[in-house]
This record gives sequence, structure tokens and C-alpha cells, in this order.
Amino acid sequence: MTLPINIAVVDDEKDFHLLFKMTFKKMIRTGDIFVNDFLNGIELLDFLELKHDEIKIIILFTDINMPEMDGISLCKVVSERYPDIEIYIASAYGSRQYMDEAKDAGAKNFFTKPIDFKVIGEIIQDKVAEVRKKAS
Amino acid sequence: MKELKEIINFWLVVIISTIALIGFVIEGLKINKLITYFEKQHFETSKIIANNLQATLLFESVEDFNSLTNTFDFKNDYISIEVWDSSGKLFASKGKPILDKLKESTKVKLEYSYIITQTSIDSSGKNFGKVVIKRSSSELSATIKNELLFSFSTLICISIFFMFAGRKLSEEVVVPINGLNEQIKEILKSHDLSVKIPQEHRILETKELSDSFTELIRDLLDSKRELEEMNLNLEELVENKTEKLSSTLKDMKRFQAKLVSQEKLASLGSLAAGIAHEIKNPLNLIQNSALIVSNFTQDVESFNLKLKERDYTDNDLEFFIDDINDVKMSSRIIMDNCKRADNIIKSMLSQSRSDKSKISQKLIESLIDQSVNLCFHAMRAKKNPIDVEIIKNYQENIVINCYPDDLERSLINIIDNSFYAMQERKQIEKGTKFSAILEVSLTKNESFTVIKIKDNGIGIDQKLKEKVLEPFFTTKPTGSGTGLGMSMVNDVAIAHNGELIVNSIVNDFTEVSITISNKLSQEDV
Ligand SMILES: Nc1ncnc2c1ncn2[C@@H]1O[C@H](COP(=O)(O)OP(=O)(O)O)[C@@H](O)[C@H]1O
Ligand SMILES: [Mg+2]
Repeated sequence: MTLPINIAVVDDEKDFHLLFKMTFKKMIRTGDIFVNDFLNGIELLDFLELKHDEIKIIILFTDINMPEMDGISLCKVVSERYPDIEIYIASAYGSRQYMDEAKDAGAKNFFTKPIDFKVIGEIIQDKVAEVRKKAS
Repeated sequence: MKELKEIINFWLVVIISTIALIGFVIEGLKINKLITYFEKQHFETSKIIANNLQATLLFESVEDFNSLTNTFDFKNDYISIEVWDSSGKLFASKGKPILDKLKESTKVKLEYSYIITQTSIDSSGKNFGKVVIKRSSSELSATIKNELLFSFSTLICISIFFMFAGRKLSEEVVVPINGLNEQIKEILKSHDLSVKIPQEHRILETKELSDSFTELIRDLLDSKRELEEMNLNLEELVENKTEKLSSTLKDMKRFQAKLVSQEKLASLGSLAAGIAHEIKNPLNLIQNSALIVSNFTQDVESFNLKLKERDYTDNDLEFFIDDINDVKMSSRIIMDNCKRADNIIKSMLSQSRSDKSKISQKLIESLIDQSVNLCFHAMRAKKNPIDVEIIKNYQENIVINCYPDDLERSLINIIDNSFYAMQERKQIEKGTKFSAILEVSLTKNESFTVIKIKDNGIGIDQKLKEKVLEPFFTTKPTGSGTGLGMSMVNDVAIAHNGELIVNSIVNDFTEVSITISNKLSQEDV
């Protein structure tokens, strides 16, 4: 694994993409991470289908309530086809049922909105450190 | 069918006729015998006379003739006697000449009032002539007359007897039977079984008959009483059941009303639940945008330090300006999403406000917009959200009297149904190029305002179209629909002196139009 690590963000709101990139701008600037954004699950799957060998996505953040394909279904497909990708799921609904479903679908963790970006930042930084360590 | 009397009369006539016939036959035979006997007697007499007259002719002595005929009674019995010789010449005669032309062979001729005998006068095989005797037959006539008279009167007597007997028979049999008949007719007509059948009878059969009838009537009376009792019980039973049913109906109505209001609450509840969560989306963006701004303030401080010490690179400057842009962007996101959250809360509040069924003037397009917004957010917050292109076609500034809460609730239900139908179609046609379109139009003519909501969802089967307005009709899985929405919308349309029309083609579109009167006034309440 090499830097920058590729992160995929799937959300039907463009503002969320913007915000994500702004929040982690420093890491983007330093070349630790690269953010690939998608408006829905289909876009991501198409991308993975085409570019998986070229661009190795390591972390996936996805919303649950989305048109075309919900986050849980996406999670299922991705964890099945690309088991290397670490998946994090977010939803406005924090019900137990959702959390269990997400875990069963292969998600590593579940966030209830509003999402604490600091926690996400930590997850990313941990990943970056891990990659650095492996490289040296 | 013949009357009994007729039958009796018929047989009477038959009997009388038979007796008469037999009487006449017997009488005929008797008379015939009488006549034969009479003729024979006269013939014998005339033979004796002819014998006696042998000498007269033999000796041609008229004297002998006279002395012989002298003893004959010419007053009552004999009319005339003629003696003819063998040459055909009248030899001697007494009384009026006989005018009847008799054939040679005729021996006896019987007429009504006389009898003529013609006898040849023979002696030892030789014919000397003949004697013709005419005598009165009044004796015979009288006898016959008497005989006939007797027979006739006997017949009349017998007839009278039979007629009398017939009458008597009728009286004894027919009258009681007829009486019984009348009585029963009376009973049937008046439906009064208490009428008594008279008990005086002289004939065993009619007595038995009337007894049987009396018994039958008693049985009938018993059955009738039983029936009446049963009827009474039945009435009571029906009354009880009706009472129970009507109370059940009342319960049902109350239950239904409760369900309708529950449906309103439930749809509100699920909408509210969806919307409460929906707020978390803008909140998420606001909170994290704020984080960027707050992070920026720290960056500003460190940059300020660098500025003071004049220890900064071009890169630092570039980044700083970049960060300022981020702040700009973040504040835009914050503002946008605050508005979004505000909208969501507003539509939620408009739903929960309970100034029930009050007419007020409203800008209809804002009512529609609020409903569309609310439903859209609710749909997006739930499972299987979809993108929807919303086309609005409003005639501007339509302000009319309406029940705003009811109208908005109706619009919410209609639009909610539309989103649901389009989500369904999206699910069914997964992977195809289907894109959901909701067309909302608002027009006003002289007397009505029409709101049309058209979706390109799964549509409604022609067979089910009638049922959509029925309460409790739903095609949605339990928990997703109560089937009370459209019936409520229909009620609301009627409350607005308007109507609800549903137009649809399966897998093509559904268009729901709700028409409301422009002239709804407070007096209509
Ligand atoms: N826009 C629509 N498209 C397709 N079907 C519809 C639409 N609106 C209503 N229906 C049908 O009418 C039924 C009754 O609707 P409604 O009275 O609102 O009850 P509910 O929504 O609880 O099922 C729905 O279950 C659905 O089958
Ligand atoms: Mg409905």
C-alpha cells in the first residue's frame, strides 16, 4: 500500500462531498489521502469495476438513505466483491436494527448523523500511519 | 266439475226415463196382445156366424138371415152384416152398407172405432159366398185408453216420487255439504278460525265430514296459535338482533371514525418521525461546516503568528486564501442547511397545528409547496429513496377560502401515494432508465380551483380504480398503509363543495385531481 490512500465517499448530497474534502483538506494537501466522491452506489460500483486495479480504494464512507441503491445493499456488494475495503456507514436513523443490518452487511462501524468528523479523521489518520509504518 | 245437485238431477232424469221406457215397452206389448186377442175373438165369432149362415145361402132364405141376426145387438156392438153369394152379389144385409173396399184375402181389418171381419161361407168343401161383419171396437179403444191412462198416471206418480226423493236427497246431502262449504269459505275469507261449524246433522257422513272439519280447524287453530307464538318470539329475536346490530354499527362507526383520526395521526406520526430524522441531514452538514469554521479560526491564529514573524511561504498564503474560500463555502452550506432545517420544521409544525376545520383564506400554491416538500423529505428519509423531478405549473396568486389543514393533509396523502407509487416502479424497473417525475398543477376557473397531481408511478389497475376511494382499501403491505387516505381526501373534497377524480393507466401514470369551490364561505360550515 502506498500513499495517498484512496477514500471513497458515497452520498447523494454534493455539499457533503465538499464538506468532507474541506475537513480533510490538510491530509489531501500533504498527499496522504485522495477523496473519490460518488452521488450513489451504482456510480461507485461502476468505478470499482473499471478502476479497481489502478486505484485501490481502502476506506469507504457511505450514507444509508440514498436513491438508486441504499447504503446497506451497497455495503453487501462491496464487502463481497472487494473484501479489502473498510466500510463505514452513516445514517440519520440510529436504530439498533439498522446498526445490526449494517454490521451483517460487512460494515466496520456505524455512525449516527450528525457525524463527528473528528472520529472519521482519527480513522483516516490511523490508516495513514499504518501505511507509513508498512512502507518504512 | 259438476254440482252435486246437478249429478243427482241427472241420475233422476235417467231413472225416470228408464222407468218410462220400460213402462211404455210393457204397455206396448200388453196393448198388442189385447188387440191380437180382440181380433181373434171377433174372428172366431164371425166364423161361428158364417157357419150359421151356411143354410141361409144354401137355401137362399133371407128369413133365416133375419132371424139369425135379430139377436145381435145393433145398438152398441154390431154396425152392419152383409152376406155375399159366390157370384159376388149382395144376398142379404143389415145396418149401413160397408164402404170399406176389402181385398179377397183380408180376414180382419181393425180401425180406431170399428172392426171388420170377412169370412167365407163353405159347406163340404164348396164355397157359397162370404159374410162381412162390421162391429164397434169402442170396447177395445176404451180398454186401451184406460190402460194408457193408468200407465201414464203411474209414470207421473213415479216421477213425482223420484223428484220428491231427489229433492229430499239434495236437502239431506247437498244442503249440509253446501252449508259446510259456505262455513269454510267464510273461515277462509275472514281468516277467523273461531267460527263454529253447526253440529245438527241427520246424516252420518256429513256429520263425520263436519266433525273432520271441526277437528281440522282445531288443529289449524293450534298451529296458528303456535305460529303466532313463534312469530312473537321471532319479533322479539329480531328486535334483539336489530338492537345488537345497530349498536355494533354504532361501534363500527365510532371505530371507523377513530381509525380515520388514527390514520391522520399515523400518517402524521410516520411523517414526523421521518422528518425528525431528516433534520439530522442538514444538521450533519451544519455541524461539520461549523467545525471547519472553528478550525479555521485556529489556522488564522497560527497564520497570524507567521505573518507577524514574516515567516511564511507563498504556499502558506495560497493555502490561507484557499481556507478562506472554504469558510465561505462552509458558511454557505450552513446557511442553506439552516434554511432546509427550518423548512422541515415549518412543514412539521403546519402538520401538527390543530386549529381544526377552520375556514381561512390561503395562498394555495404555498399549501401545495409545503406538502410537496414535506412528502419529499419524508420519502428521502425512509427506505428506498428516489430522485424525483418535480415540475410545477401554477397559476399564480390563487387565494381562496379553504380548510387549510384538511386540504394540506389531503395533498400530503396524495403526494405521499405518488412518491410511493414511483418508488415501487423504480424497484420493479430496477436498472432501466426510469426516472420519477411529479407534475403538480394549479388552475382556477370561474367557480372552481383545481389541483392536479400526476406521477409516473405504477398506476392503478382499471378494476381497482373504483375501490381506491373506499375506506380501508389498500394495496400496501401492513404497516405501510391503512387505506384510509383517499377516503379522507374524498371527504375533504366534498367538504370543499368539490370532488376528487382519479385517472390512471397501469405502469404509466396516475393523476389525482382535487377540485374545490372558490366560493366556500363561513356559512357552509
Ligand atoms: N398515485 C397512486 N399510484 C398508484 N396507486 C395509488 C395511488 N394513489 C392511491 N393508490 C392506490 O390506492 C390505494 C389507497 O390509497 P389510500 O387511500 O391513500 O391508502 P393507503 O395509502 O394507506 O394504501 C393505495 O393502496 C394504492 O393501491
Ligand atoms: Mg395513502
